[in-house]
Amino acid sequence: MKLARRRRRPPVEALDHEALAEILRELEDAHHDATGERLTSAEFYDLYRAGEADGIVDAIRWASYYELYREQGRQALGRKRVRKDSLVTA
Amino acid sequence: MRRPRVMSFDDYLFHRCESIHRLGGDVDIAMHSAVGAADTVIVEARVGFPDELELRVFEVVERTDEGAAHRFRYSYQVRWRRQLVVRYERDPVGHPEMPEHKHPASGGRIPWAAVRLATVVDEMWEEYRLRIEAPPVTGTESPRAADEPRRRTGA
Repeated sequence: MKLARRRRRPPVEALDHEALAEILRELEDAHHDATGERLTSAEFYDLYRAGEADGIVDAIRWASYYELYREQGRQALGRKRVRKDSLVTA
Repeated sequence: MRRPRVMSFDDYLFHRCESIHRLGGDVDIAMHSAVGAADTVIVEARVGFPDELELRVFEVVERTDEGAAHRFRYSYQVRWRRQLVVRYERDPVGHPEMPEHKHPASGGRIPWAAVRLATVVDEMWEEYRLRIEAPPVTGTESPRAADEPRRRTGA
């Protein structure tokens, strides 16, 4: 019984930077198709932070994936710095 | 006073999937995190029911320092025949002045206490019942009135 129940939960798929970028591109295209307006995810996020994204379909989804994308970019940058630092101190 | 139940991050994800599957519709569900950031998980689900009734679930769930689950963001949206019935959201970044709110079918955004998915599902079925029982819209009624069967029927 437990096994059958566990099958219902999909695995958490860890998305890399490119996969997240692909989702953002799809959201940008969907917004363009719906409104005719071309917005980059960064431009959208500025509007969102200013509380001006109420009329944008999927704003919460777009903002959430953009935050993940940005956070991962920061972490990747951090990892590079650590590697560089460790080389310096080695 | 009853204290809110604290659930571990992993248990929450498991139970969230279970609760969505138990709704009985046609379920499409996915969970995403970012490589290197496993403590934040996006849960996305679309549950389709007959007669084009649809529930969309979107959550950003974070693992707290204590290992508990925290719904940082959510959006629970009910649509019927491609029209919005109701949407509840928690969006502390986009709307810090009103993190938890409701988007009714008539438009706009109103403050609303945090909701549980089960409550939204109950409302979904109630709104669906009201809509299919509502008399046909006549030419004298506005399209907006058609979105508000509760008001029209006086229920």
